[in-house]
Amino acid sequence: MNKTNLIKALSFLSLFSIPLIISNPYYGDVLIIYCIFVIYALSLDLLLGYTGIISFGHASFFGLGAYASAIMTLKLHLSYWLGLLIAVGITAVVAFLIGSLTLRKLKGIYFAIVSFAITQVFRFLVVEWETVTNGAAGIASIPPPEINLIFEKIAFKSEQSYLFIVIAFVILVTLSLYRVVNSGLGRAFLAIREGEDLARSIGIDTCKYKKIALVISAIIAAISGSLYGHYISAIGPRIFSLHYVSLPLIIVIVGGKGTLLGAFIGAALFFVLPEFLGFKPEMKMVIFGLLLLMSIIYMPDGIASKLGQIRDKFFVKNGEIKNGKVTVRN
Amino acid sequence: MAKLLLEISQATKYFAGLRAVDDVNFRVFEGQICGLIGPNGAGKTTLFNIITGFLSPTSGKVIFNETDITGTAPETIAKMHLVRTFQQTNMFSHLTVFDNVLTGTFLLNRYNLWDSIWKTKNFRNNEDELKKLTYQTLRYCEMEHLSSTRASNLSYGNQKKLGLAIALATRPQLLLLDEPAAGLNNKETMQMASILKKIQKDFGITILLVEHDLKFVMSLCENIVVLNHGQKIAEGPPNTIKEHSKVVEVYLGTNHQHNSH
Ligand SMILES: Nc1ncnc2c1ncn2[C@@H]1O[C@H](COP(=O)(O)OP(=O)(O)OP(=O)(O)O)[C@@H](O)[C@H]1O
Ligand SMILES: [Mg+2]
Repeated sequence: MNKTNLIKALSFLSLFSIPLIISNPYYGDVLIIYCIFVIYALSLDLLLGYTGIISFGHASFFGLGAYASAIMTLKLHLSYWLGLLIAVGITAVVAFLIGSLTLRKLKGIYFAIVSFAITQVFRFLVVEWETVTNGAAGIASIPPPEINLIFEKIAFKSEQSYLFIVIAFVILVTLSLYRVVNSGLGRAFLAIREGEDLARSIGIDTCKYKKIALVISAIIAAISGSLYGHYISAIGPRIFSLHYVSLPLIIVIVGGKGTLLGAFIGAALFFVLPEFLGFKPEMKMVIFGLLLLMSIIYMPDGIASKLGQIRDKFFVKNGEIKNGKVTVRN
Repeated sequence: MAKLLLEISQATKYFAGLRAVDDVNFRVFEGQICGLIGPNGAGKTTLFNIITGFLSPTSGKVIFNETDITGTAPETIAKMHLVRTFQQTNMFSHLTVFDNVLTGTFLLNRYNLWDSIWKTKNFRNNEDELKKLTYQTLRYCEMEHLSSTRASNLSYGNQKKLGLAIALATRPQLLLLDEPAAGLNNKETMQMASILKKIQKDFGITILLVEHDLKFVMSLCENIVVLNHGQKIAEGPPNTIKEHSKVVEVYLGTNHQHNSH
């Protein structure tokens, strides 16, 4: 391990000191919700920001992850980790099927509309399939994750301990996504966003790679959904509602799509800032509606992109080739 | 005799009664630069779309490297090293010039998802290779000084060159260029011609190009196919084409006004 890697590793480790510093459960709660929605928004960013697929149905995967892992732990008495794995697997399969059925034929807004319809199918299914899902009442007392050490069980019940888990997942998801978008796979996604005909002309099977983007994105959404359910410990059919559809969209659009960083900025604006300013929940929606409007007008590419432009203006000059070496800017 | 690379036989495409391409036959041999000319609406782009799988012909066949590729998906055809550019400037607008061309190396990716997440040696080696190839391609197209410019900020001439660079980065065997010199000024046109000659010579890439600038076509191409109203009206080396009565009629005669729009 060289020096920069060591510094990187240490800075990631240092993030785990956050739960130790924040002992106030209220702030812990705010941060946990923040982290969960960062993950949820990151998953949408891969689809919307990088691949250019507009989805009004991401709540399908969020909700499916939450429901499946709740059912696995509560009804089948599996450990949280196995339950999460199965939930992720189920969601991946469902996303693959949805992708196979819709992505070839439906483009742009048509996919968006159908994806929203699919959330409503899920909503209907969980309401109707009462024996498994408890119907409209939803599932309550979902247990917190546990780690089984030989001597004792550690349950991640407190805000402080749960914050450890969600921070770990934020790091895991962010790093993985960062690597993915900076690989050939990520370039295929971007190519699809930028122009499907050109992408196909250079050998990118756009249909296949859209499906791959959808499945990866759904897996991450399922992780965030599962973390959400096991944190708030009760979920219902409302998890498939417009509220959970629009949250990641707003976060990614305001924060800046196709940047990853945008998810962090957008979620901070939505979940952290209002808490510090002491807004009532209803006010939050109004303020955020205005924010959304203003950012779409003044920063159509989102805050993160705006920051990137400012950085480029001041720190980076065009045409960076020195001694035959190309410095690539992302 | 050079190897037969591409054979179009009896290619026909109807659009709701309009015969955009009508029973066209011709061949392209390895190492050649071939021209496809004809007035506006003659069916040149449609023929390109048929060859590269963007359109299925109503009837007829496309044989590439002894394989029947009629109706095969564009991405599959690209994998066989038959790559085309587009008449309208076509690039990944929001990406830098470098990333545009790097994206063009897609088919040369030799690592999987796992490699990229863990940044394995295989990933790093392959990425280094692709970045080198990208840099070479940019230098070849005389665009290396623009590598960190956003594609959408390029001048029209440079956008055309970028389209070529992206296609070139795929390492094609046969390159189809749809009006590579359209909208370029004199200097840019000459530069484009010299780049095309160079890639034919250095990489042995075969080129089939559509172009309205006859001087450009005549100076580059060994063999020229002339289309009019979807039909092939002439074929041959530049000198024959220049004097061919039907071609002269189409380009200078009464048909000219009727055909252009
Ligand atoms: N998708 C389509 N649907 C219907 N008609 C089409 C379609 N594409 C092309 N055409 C028609 O087919 C004919 C041939 O068009 P094509 O674009 O192939 O001409 P071209 O030779 O490339 O002309 P130009 O020099 O203007 O590019 C034209 O009359 C055009 O209007
Ligand atoms: Mg054309």
